[in-house]
Amino acid sequence: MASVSFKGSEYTLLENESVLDCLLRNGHKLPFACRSGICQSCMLAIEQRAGQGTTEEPPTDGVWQQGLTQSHRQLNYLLPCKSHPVGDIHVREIADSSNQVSATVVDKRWLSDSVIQLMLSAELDYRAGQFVTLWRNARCARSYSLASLPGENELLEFHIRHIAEGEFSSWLANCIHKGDRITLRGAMGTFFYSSPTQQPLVLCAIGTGLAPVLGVLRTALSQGHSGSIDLLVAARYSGDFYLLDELARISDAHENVTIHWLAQSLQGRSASKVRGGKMLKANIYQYCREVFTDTAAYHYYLCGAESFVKKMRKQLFISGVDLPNIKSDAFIAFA
Amino acid sequence: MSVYESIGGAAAVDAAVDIFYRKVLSDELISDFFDTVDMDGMRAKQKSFLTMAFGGPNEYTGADMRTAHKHMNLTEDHFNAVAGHLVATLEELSVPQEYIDEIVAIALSVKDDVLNIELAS
Repeated sequence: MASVSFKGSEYTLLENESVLDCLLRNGHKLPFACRSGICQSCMLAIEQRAGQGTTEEPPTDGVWQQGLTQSHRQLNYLLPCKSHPVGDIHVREIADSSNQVSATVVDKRWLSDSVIQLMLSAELDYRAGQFVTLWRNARCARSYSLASLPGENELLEFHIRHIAEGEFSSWLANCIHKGDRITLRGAMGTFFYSSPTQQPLVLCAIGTGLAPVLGVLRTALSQGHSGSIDLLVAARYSGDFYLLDELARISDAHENVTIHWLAQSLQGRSASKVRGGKMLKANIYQYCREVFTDTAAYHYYLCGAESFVKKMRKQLFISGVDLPNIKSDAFIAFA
Repeated sequence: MSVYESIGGAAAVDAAVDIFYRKVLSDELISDFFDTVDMDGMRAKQKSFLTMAFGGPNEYTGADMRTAHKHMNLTEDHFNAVAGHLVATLEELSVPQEYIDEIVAIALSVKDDVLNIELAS
């Protein structure tokens, strides 16, 4: 029978129950968000107990530690939401806050009806496109992707969708002001620019998936990317688009960059040429198929809702693109 | 020499896996079983399946096969579809018919386990 020991008590795990669920069921208040091993907000450490060989399944490089840095692995950190021990394990909270950073709110403004641009000042080692976890308090955390480029005025840029009743985004929208401090942990993830500079790229973003994709675009351009870059931004309504001017500026300054705004509904606008690209009523899957016919000639960067990433990745793979040439970052809704 | 060695070992698996994976993902009858956001993990699973089917080194047991497929409610049609894509993949790679026959025989040997059919006793 599997069990988990935490803060001096031992709990028996139910069938298929994760360590996280077991501890929550037993009344422990632990931070968590995605329950998918992605946001890392529930991270704990395995306690090594001298002279006791009861840990039948010690932390491995498997799913328990997927996405953790090498140093976290060495510290025996684990993700309890993905941990299903077969024997007894002892876990503890992570006392040190080595990768925890206190950030100052430098700016907060609305990019559209529902998207907030948050600018934070903090010392953080990251790559554009990676994500961090922002903390409202010890029990409420959410992951957001970095649109900014490290070293560029040292500000961290996030695009955060305001969800009505959203515990985190409503707090951010209503209670956070310039000068306030927010705790963050990161950076994590492998979604960042890593293609040869002459490689033609197709970047696809849905919703606030534009943030990390913009991070990739900015990195590519800062490294002198010379291959073509097609940025496809898709939304349900044309009114959902944001950062039109900013992207037009980038496209004006770089002739290898083309922006494609693809809306399912143009809301009265007609298909038109907009600065730096065009705006069309189009379905992104079909558009991709029709425009980028020589699919295997490109590297792809996809970001947005999980359903989009999954469907697009499948479409590209079936059409002949090798998996390592499709980088993706799927946003998991808070459950 | 085993069929695995004859057709090129690990290199043959590498050549086959993407062709095979694309075929099963494109087949609506079975696509859902292979359709996951973790495509890298799924590709790794298929590499181990192909290694086994090619008679290569593997640690598959009948019990593993049963446990892994038990909850999918698979039918003979599903099994035959996968087997068909396996054969088509091998033909696309110009694997000689005698080896294809051997590989199909190995695949058929796990059929009862995959479909969770109990042996008549």
